Amino acid sequence: MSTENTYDVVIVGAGITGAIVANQLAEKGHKVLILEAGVQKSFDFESYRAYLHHYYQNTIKIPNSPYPQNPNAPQPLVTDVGDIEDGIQQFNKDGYFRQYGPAPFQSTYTRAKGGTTLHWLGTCLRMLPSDFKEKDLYDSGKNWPINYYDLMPYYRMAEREIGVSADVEEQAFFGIEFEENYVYPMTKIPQSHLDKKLTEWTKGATFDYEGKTYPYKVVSTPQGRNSNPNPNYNNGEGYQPVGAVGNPDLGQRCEGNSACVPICPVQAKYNALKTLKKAVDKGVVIYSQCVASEILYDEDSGEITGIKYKEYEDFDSLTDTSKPCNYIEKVITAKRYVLAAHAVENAKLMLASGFKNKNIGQNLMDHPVLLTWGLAPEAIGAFRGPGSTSGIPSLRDGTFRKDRSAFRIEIGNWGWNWPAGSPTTELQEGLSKQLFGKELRAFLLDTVQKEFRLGFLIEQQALSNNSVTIDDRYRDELGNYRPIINYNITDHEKEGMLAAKEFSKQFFDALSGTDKTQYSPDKGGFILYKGEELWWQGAGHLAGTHIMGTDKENSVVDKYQRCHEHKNLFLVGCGNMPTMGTSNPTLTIAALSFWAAENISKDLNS
Amino acid sequence: MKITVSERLDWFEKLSVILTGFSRSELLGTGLIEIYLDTIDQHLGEDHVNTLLDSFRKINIQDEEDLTAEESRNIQELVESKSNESITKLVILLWYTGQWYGKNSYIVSSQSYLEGLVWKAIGAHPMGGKQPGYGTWGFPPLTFSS
Ligand SMILES: Cc1cc2nc3c(=O)[nH]c(=O)nc-3n(C[C@H](O)[C@H](O)[C@H](O)COP(=O)(O)OP(=O)(O)OC[C@H]3O[C@@H](n4cnc5c(N)ncnc54)[C@H](O)[C@@H]3O)c2cc1C
Ligand code: SF4
Repeated sequence: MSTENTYDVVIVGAGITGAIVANQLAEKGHKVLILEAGVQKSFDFESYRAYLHHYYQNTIKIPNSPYPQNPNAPQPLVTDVGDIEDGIQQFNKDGYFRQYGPAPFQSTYTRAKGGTTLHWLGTCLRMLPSDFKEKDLYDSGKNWPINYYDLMPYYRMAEREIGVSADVEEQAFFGIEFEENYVYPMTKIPQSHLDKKLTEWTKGATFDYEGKTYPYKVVSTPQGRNSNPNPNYNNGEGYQPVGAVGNPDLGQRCEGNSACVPICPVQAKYNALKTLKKAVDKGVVIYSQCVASEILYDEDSGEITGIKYKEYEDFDSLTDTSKPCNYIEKVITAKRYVLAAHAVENAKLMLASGFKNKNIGQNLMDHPVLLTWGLAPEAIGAFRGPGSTSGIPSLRDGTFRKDRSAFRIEIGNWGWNWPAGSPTTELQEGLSKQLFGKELRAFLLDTVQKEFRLGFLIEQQALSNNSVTIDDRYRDELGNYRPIINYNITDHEKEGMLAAKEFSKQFFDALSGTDKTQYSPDKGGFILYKGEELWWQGAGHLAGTHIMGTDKENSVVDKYQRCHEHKNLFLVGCGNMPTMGTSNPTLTIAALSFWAAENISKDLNS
Repeated sequence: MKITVSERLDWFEKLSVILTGFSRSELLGTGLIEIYLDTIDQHLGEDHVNTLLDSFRKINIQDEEDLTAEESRNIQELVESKSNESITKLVILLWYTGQWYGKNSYIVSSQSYLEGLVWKAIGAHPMGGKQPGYGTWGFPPLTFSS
């Protein structure tokens, strides 16, 4: 087995977290290598376009449809979660995850250069100050070893790197503070016609629940997609939007392609290829088609001595969809190591290497998303613009968090596409009514133009039973472990869902819309709780598998993002989060990656 | 009776106008008429397709974009008849989604996905293509006469 040793830092994973750490370290003059499991893809725009065509031509339009399954580095698919049969949740046993339930884990990620931001939506909310000390405030969840104010400067760096569009005045709620004179890099993305109408229709009305009232305040969402540069950014220095990698004139501004998940055709939406390209231009080396399989370490000191990886042969994942490849095993060594392979893969890698910390793999979290949907009183023009441009934050914080989950409400601009497969479903419905020609058109226009949906991102608590483990019997084609998932949701979360469902009912009443939410009891994610039908999906926010804390008893990494027991190993990504809060997590982990890079650099220089 | 290639295409075009509710120029604009007729031939066989086209021909439509009451009744009958129901649905699905809905469903091409008429029918644009431009989603929807 060949061993290479020329780098200061080796990073596993070329997603947003790995890319930020690499770029920052290169900036400081360190020699960096990234091992990436996905296929070799150049940075030219044509190879990105190939993903787009793969998406167009895929009959199943799910988040991973542009990015083909690669047997050498498989990825989970939402379609691996089956129906409920005789009260028991079914799973595709040949899917990448081996799931034991009892509840379905429905979130996925992408194993290709650029990682999961290739198909993220781009929502870039900061976490609330209270999310960092939930244990203290609500005797629920955990505390972070750092607070909002510690993270503030790094949030700014993350907002710059991703290129976030938002207006500061609208984002200072629930104690979120910004430095004086701070503005986002770009002005806010225009709110959709739907957002504006919902504001108008629900004006003055409130959500009444358990003796408290909450406003239906529709607030525009900060987004990692290009709008107009803010001339006041950085004390008047301004901001230069970053267009498509390999075609920088493209994607300077969002064009309303309405396909942010699963792929923005022009890269107006941020993806990690943008940061990776900068890193490579600074000398960072990426080894693609290299799947890290084991972390080698000294039993006595805990020091990491190398990373073993499997490099597989050239392979066109767009055409050779099933054929696994020959590979060779190699070892790479460096002064410092970083795992940035995303929550599940990071945990799996540490378990496969025999790490002893009992918290590894535990506390798996997501934002279970309760979906509701209905019709607006008039045509609002569904299926236009980014997937979501606004949300309702009213229930993101409050003393109720002692007893039930907080949630953020995302307003969806793409009709019932997510909950009901629109518009194909309506087309099939029209055909089953024997409609054709102009009548069919009129039927489709009339129904779909009024459609919208709400998504309630329910905060999930960190629990040891929700976990990623490994089992010698279940391996992928290269002989690497397939993640074993045990997962459930608690009454705390179900109470949150109950409040969400009630919110939805009152909301549709307030706007004089028609609530069309109807769940089928055999669909994965369905539950009956206190007589109420509930149905949730995954948010793609896999988190908590190697949380940060104060010592090795309660956590895997310290506040510097360094492993308690392996001082030359740093972890980045959602796995470090001890609580989820109600923000989509990527802005926060991007901020933490800047923080981690700073700590690694200091450590190397000391 | 022997049907020439151009007659077939002509009838398929007219039938498509009626089945989809889109004008001839809109269908021509997709550049997909011949490809779709080929697709259907390939899966169902030319004879089967000819039977449909022939029953359509017999209705003797004067202006496919503006049917008389009697023509409409005859078309309705044709669409609902046992022998033609499933094939007319396949034709509509093909035009509306760019996808062949057979035993092995597939999308004919990137172009066929992007030209799917369902997007126009709902007053939108295909997800991932034909972008309407920055900020347009903030405007009220266009009202289409149906
Ligand atoms: C549908 C969807 C929508 C989302 N929308 C949002 C949103 O709007 N806002 C938000 O904040 N978040 C969103 N997310 C979550 C977001 O995508 C992730 O939080 C983020 O991409 C995680 O970044 P990462 O760098 O940690 O991991 P990833 O982006 O997953 O990158 C990990 C990289 O590591 C590589 N890798 C994996 N295993 C190995 C190995 N063994 N060896 C070498 N390399 C390996 C992978 O190939 C990949 O390139 C969404 C997720 C999904 C699924
Ligand atoms: S709306 Fe379109 S252009 Fe804008 S980010 Fe989404 S996919 Fe890209």
